[in-house]
Amino acid sequence: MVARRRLMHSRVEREVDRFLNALYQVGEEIRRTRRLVELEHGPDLARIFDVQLAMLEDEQIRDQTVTRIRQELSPAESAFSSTMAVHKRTFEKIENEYLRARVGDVRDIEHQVLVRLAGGELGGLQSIRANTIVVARDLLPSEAVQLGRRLIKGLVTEQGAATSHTSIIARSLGLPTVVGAQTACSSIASGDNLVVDADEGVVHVRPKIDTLRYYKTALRRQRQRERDLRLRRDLPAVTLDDTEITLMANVDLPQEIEAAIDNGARGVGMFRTEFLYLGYRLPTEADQLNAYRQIAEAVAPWPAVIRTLDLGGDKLTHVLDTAHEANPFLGWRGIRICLDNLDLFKTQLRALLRAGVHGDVQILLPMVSDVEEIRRARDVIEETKAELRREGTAFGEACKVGIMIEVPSAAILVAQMAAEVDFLSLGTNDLTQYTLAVDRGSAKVAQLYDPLHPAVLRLIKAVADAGFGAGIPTSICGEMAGDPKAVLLLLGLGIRILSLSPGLIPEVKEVVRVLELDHARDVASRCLELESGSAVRRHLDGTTSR
Amino acid sequence: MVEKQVIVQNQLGIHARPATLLVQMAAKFEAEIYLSKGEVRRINGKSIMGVMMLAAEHGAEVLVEADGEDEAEAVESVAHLLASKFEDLT
Repeated sequence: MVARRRLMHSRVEREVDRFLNALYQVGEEIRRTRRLVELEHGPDLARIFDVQLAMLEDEQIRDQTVTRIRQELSPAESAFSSTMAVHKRTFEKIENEYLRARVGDVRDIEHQVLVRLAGGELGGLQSIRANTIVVARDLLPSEAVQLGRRLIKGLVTEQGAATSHTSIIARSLGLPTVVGAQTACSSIASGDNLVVDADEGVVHVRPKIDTLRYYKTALRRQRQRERDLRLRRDLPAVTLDDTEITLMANVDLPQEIEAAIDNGARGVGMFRTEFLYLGYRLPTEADQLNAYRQIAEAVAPWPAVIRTLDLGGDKLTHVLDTAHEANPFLGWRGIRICLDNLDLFKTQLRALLRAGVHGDVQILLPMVSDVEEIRRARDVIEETKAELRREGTAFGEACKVGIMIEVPSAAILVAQMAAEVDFLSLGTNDLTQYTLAVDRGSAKVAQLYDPLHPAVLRLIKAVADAGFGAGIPTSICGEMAGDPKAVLLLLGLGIRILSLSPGLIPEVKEVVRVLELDHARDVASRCLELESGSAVRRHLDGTTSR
Repeated sequence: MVEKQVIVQNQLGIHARPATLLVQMAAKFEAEIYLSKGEVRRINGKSIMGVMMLAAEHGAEVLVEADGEDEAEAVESVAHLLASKFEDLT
């Protein structure tokens, strides 16, 4: 409670100066924090402080406070508090929950200015020792930053929403945090043992011995996992004879990329764009640009290989004039649909080319079965570039264009295909199905599906050789790239780039690191001569367990 | 006095970050800038508190007014920002 006190007239202007000076000092303090946060945690988190600066320098707040000092002869503290009280009340009436949560920033500003006016620096948290869990009614964003910089183990607050700046900061700092624990302050006493389970949003107060034991084990496991992952992530994928193998990730959603990179992916080897097309309406150029740009930026400086639409006609019935097909796998799908629907294709190409400004975006064409399809697609790409150029829209001039090799005709005539493109990507799932004439979704024949079949291996060998001959990268993006047994074989066949599910990368990297290429080549050339997939498996089992 | 009606394009509306950008831009003009939305009349476009109170959501109609030497340019810039998809994240 601030006592009602009135200023002497002679003191009024000095009080105004004192207030303006406090605003200035707090502004400098926020700018310092902002710089620190930007250095340590990047520009996104730092932008939170721009909002606080704008509030601090708000002319309404300043003018209303100065007016109160002058007209009501109020001391700066009470003039400022009264001004802020009005603003907070209005804030709490805003119907938008997100905006309402910003009241935390308003309180933060108020607190900092009042502390400044009282002649102090923010100090309450400085006294907190390491290995402490902080329990508070609420925490200001600036305090959360200070906490994160000390050796605090966790944070529990009674108030606050998951979208408040305090929670965002705590999360970004890796501080286990539970907000909205409503009776925390009354039910927890200083010195109590606590377990803060931020994953589940649960706080255990004075936990029993078996709860503690459970969490200690869980924590140890989690630390071990993180340590292992970090160790492996930074190890190069190099064979014993010093050949570097590139491990990339197959990804369906932009949100998966961060985890892929944490697992050691050196780029995205295949991003499937189908998810964009399964909604009620076709994705616009802007929708797509947004998604592709996100991917390109997230994987930079490594490449993002993005595959153009590869849906069968049956999946696009809501937008295309499709007829029922007896054999959809042999029907209207992939590049065939795109070349028949140039508007659809061009919209995607425009977005891909434009995303090329933000990273190394590479365009991958699926289901190519004839060299003429590549030429037509490349013509459409050139036309699209010319359009963008005419409009003055920025795009990646140097976007590479490659094709999926997944149809036997493309694998057999791969040398001719390779002459037309910048890279090749082997889709071994479809290549196996088409080569062996097996639909692996059909229970009666699924056991005939075998990517290790020598017929498939010979095609892979031909593709690797053609890529090498043309001097262009050749990758594998089928499931076999993630099968530790097949990896030996693939490297022996001449493949140097594997694109696989992010979760399999650490394991495959282990395989690569203990492998000798000479041995892999011997095994591969022997397997090419075998008569069946099962013979190949027997041979592999014999050689890897030696 | 110059005015212009615009529709807010940001999916999340004019929340804290866009409001900050808007205020930073408005501050560059000499002219007084006012925003109105429905019942909320003529809030100060140079005040973040004001702009946030406006709580302009996606699709909201906002009237931008400016009064002063560079009023035409001020209205054009602010209206253009409001009608673009700027800063759709926190």
